[in-house]
Amino acid sequence: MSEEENATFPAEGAVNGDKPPAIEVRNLFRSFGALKAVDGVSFSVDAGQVVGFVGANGAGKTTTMRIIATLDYPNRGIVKVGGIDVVQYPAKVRSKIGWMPDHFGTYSNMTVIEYLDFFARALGYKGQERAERVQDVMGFTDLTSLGDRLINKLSKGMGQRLCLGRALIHDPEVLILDEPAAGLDPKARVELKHLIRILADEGKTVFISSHILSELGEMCDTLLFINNGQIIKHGTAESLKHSAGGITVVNVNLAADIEKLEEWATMAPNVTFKEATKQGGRIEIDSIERDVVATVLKRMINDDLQVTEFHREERKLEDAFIEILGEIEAAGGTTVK
Amino acid sequence: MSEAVTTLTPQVPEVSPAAHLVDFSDKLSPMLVKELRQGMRTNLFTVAFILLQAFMILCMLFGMNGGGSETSGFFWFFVIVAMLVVQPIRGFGALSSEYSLNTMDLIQLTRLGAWRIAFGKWAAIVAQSMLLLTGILPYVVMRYFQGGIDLFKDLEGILYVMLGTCLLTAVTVGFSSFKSVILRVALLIGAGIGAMIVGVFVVETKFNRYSGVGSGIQFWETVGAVIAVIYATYYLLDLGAGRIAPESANHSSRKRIISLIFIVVMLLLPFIGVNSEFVIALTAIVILLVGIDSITESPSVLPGVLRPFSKLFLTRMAAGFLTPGWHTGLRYFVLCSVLLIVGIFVHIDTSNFDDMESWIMTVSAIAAVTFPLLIIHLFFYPVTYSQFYFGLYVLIQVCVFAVAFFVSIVASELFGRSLNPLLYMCFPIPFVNMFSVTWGNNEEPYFLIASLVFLFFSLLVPAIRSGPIFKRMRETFVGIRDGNVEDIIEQTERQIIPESTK
Repeated sequence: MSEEENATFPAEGAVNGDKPPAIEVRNLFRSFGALKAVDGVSFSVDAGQVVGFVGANGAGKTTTMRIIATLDYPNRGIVKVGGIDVVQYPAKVRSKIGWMPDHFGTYSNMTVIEYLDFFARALGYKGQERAERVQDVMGFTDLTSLGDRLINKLSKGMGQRLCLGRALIHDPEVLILDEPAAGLDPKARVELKHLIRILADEGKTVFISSHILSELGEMCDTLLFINNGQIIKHGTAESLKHSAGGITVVNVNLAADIEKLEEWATMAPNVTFKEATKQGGRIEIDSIERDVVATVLKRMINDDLQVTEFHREERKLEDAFIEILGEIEAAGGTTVK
Repeated sequence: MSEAVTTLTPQVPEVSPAAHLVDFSDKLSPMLVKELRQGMRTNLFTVAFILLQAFMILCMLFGMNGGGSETSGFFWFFVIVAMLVVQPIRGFGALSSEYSLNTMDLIQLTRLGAWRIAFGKWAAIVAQSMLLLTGILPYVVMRYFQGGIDLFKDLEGILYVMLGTCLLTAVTVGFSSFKSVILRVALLIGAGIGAMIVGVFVVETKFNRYSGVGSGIQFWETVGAVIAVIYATYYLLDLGAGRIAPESANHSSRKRIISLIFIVVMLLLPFIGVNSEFVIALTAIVILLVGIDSITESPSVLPGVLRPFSKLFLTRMAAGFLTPGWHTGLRYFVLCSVLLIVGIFVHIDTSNFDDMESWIMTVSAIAAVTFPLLIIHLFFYPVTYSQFYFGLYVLIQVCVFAVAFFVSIVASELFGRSLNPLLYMCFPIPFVNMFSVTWGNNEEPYFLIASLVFLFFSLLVPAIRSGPIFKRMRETFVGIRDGNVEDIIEQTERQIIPESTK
C-alpha cells in the first residue's frame, strides 16, 4: 500500500459524523538510529470501534501505539486522539486514553487496592469519588476479593486484569492495549476477551494489538496489518481472510482408490493437489467463487471419484497475513522496505 | 463506564475495601502516599529503626555511670550512619526503579508531573528519616539528665543532621534518574569528594577568618548555608525530574531562572558583610554544577515548549537562554560565568587579583567545564541532537582530568616545583594549566593564553553546531505566530539532524 493510499485510508465500517475520529494517524514517521520503526503510517479509527493491530515482532506496532499514547514522539507526522494533537497537547490526550502495556511491572510491598488507589489519587480523584472509582474497577475486573493481596503475588492473568483496571480508573474514551493477552493461559485469555468485549459494547474505542489473530478476528471490527513500519492491509477479519491468494482449500475424502485423487488433480484445470490424507487429500482451487468450487465437485463425481466428504477449509487470519506478506515480497517488495 | 460496571458485577459488596483507604489525606502527594505505604513495609526501614533504638538503649546503659558525654561519640556515630548513610542510600534507585519495573510510563500518563514524582520519592524517604529521628529524641533528653550534655547543642546537631539527610537524599534521588548504575555510583563518589572539599573549605573559612561567634556575619552565613541547602535540594530533585520528564515538559527554564536568582543573591551577600571569598567559591561551585547540567541537555524545540516564550521579543530572546537544550545551556553558562567574573571584580581585592595565578585559575576552570564540549561536538556530533550526553561528558571529563593529573605528576617528579613549562606546553589543556599553577607556580601568560584559546574554541564549535537548532526555534516561533504549527509538526523532521543520517 503506497503512502498515498495510506493517507486516505478510513477505518472500515466507520460511521463518520461531525465528531473527530477517536484516533487519527497521518503520515507518521519514527526512526531509531538507522531503523525506520514507523514509516509513513496513516489510518483513522472512529469512536466506538474495536480495531486490531497485527504485525510481527518489530513491525512497528508498539512504537505506533506508544506515540498515540503520548509516550513517544513522532519524527514527523500528525497523531490526534479525539481531535487533539498528541505532540502539542499531551496532557489533554492523556485524560482521554487508557494504556495497557505488554509487560506489567509490579511494585513490591503494595496491595492490589493500594495500587489502584495510587493511580486514582494520581489521576486527581479525591475522597469518596476515589473510593468509588477503585471499587468500580475492582468489581469490573473481578479483583474485589483480592484487594489485600500483594501485587507481586498475583498470577499473570490477575496481573493483566489489574493492569486493565488501572487503565480504566479515569473512564477513558479510548483504550490502547498492547499485547494484553501475551503470556496468558487460555482461561485468562477468555476472561480478558470477555472484559474487552464488554468495554466495546459500552462504546469505548479499543485499539488492540495481539499475536493471537484468531482472537482479534472475533473481537475486532477492523484489522490493520503492519509490516516493516507500513500498513500493508486493512479490513474486516472476514474480508482479510479471503483477500489474499484467491484460493480455496478443500478437504476431500474418498470411499476407495484414494491415490486416484492426486492423479485426477494433476489433470483437472484450476486444481492443485496439496497433500494426501488418510482417506483422501487436500486440494487447492484457484478461486474463492462458490460456483467454481461447485464445478470442481461436479467434475469429481463425473470422473467417478467416490467422494464421501468434500468440505472447504476455513481460512485463518494467520494464513491470510502470511500470504499477504508473500504477495508483497513477490511483487518486488515495493511497499515493504 | 461506572454505571455499566456496577450493574455487571452484582457480587461487589456494599462497603468496598476501597472505602477503608483513608490512612493518608487526599492533600498529600500521591507519590508520597505510595512510597510511604511501600517504604514502611521494607525490611531496611524496620531493621534500621529497631537497630537504632537498640543502640540508643545501649548508649543510655553505658552512660549510666559516667554521664551522657562519655557515650557522645557512639551516640552521634549511630545517628549519623542511620540518617546520613542508610536512609539516603534508599534513594539510590528511586527513579530508575520505575524504569526497570516498566511503571514510569504508567505514572507519566497520570496527572503527576516529573517534579511531583521526584519530590514525592524524596519526601517519603525524608519523612521516614524524620520518623527515625523522632524516635531518638527521648534519648537526647535522657542523655541530658545523665549529665555532661548541652541539650541545645545536641538539638542543634540534630537540626544539622536533618538538613544533611534532606540534602543527601536529594543527591541520591536526583542522581537516580540516570539509568546507568556505574554513572550513578561515579556521581555519588564525585559528590562525596566534592562535599568533603566544600566542607573543609567552609570550616576553614568559618573558623579561621571569623572567630567572633554569634556575630551578625555568622548569622547571615548560617542563613546562607540553610538557603544553599534548600536550593541544592531543589536543584538536585529538579535535575532528576528533568531527566525523567517527557520532551514536552520544560523543566529547564524554571531551574535556570531560580539558579540565576540564587547566583545574583549570592553575589550580593558580600555587601552585607558575608565573607566574599566564601561567597565567590560557593557561587563558582553552583555555576559549575548548573553549567554542566545545562550544556549536556538534549534540545527541545517542540511548539508546546516554545509557545510561552513566543509572545514578546524579550521573551523570545530569553528563550535563547532558558529553553531546554545544550544550545541555550551554553549561552546560559556564559552568562553565569560573566556574572561570576563581575562578582570577582567587585568583591575581591583587585590588587590581589592582579596576579596571573587568579586569572589562569578562573579562565582555566571555565575552559575545563566547556572543553569536553569541543571533543563531543567534533567527534560525537549527531549524538548531541538526540539525547542527553551527560554520561559521555562525565566520561570525557574524567579522562581529561586523568591525563592532566598524570602529566602534572610526571612533570612534578621530573622537575620538582620549579617545573619545566615545556612539558606543560605539550598538553596545554585547561586542567594541566590549573595544575601547573597550583603545583608548579608557573604563573606565565602562556598558560592564560592557552586556556583562553581552549575556551574560545570550546564555545565556538558548539555555537556553530547550534545554528540549525536556533533556526528551527525561529521557524517554530513564526509557525506559532502564524498559527500553522500543525503543518510544521506534520511536514518537518523533528530531529534536526535525522538519526538515519548518522
